[in-house]
Amino acid sequence: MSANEASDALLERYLAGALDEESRARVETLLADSEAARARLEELRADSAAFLLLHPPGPLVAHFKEERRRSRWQWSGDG
Amino acid sequence: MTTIVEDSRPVAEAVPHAPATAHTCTVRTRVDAEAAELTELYRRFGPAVHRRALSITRDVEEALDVTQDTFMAYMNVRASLRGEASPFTVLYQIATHRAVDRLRRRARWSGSLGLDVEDEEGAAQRREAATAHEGGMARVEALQDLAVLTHGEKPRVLTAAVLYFVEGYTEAEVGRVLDLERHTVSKLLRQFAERARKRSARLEHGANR
Repeated sequence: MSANEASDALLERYLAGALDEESRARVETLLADSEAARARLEELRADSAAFLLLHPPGPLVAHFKEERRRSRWQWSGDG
Repeated sequence: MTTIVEDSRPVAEAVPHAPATAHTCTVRTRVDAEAAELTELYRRFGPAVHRRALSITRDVEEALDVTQDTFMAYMNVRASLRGEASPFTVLYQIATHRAVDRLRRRARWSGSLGLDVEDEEGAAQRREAATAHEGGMARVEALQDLAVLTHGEKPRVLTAAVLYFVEGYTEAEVGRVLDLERHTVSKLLRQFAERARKRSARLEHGANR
């Protein structure tokens, strides 16, 4: 994998700890060799932290619970 | 009559005057467990899902909507997943599918998307072109064309097509992103390209009438 092949999708997977051993090794080799890839990874890491600060999981989880409650009430009323 | 009393709220609030039975407590515990799982998934994958949606919709608010929809959809389908794909892969496919769906609503056919499945050299040229035009009209038009051509395609096919035809990934890289063997990606792309060529021919024909 060359430097310009440091695709965001693979770096995203690497950052999320979602790569298999072989792919992780490839990305780590690339990161060791490429300053651009390391910089991009750090950029993604910083962006992730900022995103979670601005958009924490609370509202989504509350919405999810509300949906579950609503669907179960619907079941209850269908009887 | 089937009465299913399943609620995430405290039992006394959900079922006034009802005693807290073992069943209602179990259900509440299950919803709490799902909520905890969702929190963990969102913390781990939420930023990547949002960036994926944003790269396609190019609209922060729309991307936030897609992110929320993606996690809600994942929570509804995850029980039926057979473990062949990781949560990242499934979330990435749902996000791509939903973002392209949004794009399709405002997309117009431009005919600028190439549908050749090429060798590695060809892929390198496509990548160079995609990079050179990143953020520019060429990528936007290609993405809009693909949105039109992928109507009705499954999330996995659509995601592979976006990665390969618009974003310049190689077949091997598409495979690594989507947990697929390279030959599976190749077959999937060629079959899609054949269907898409027929659709684009119809679109060209319609545009020329």
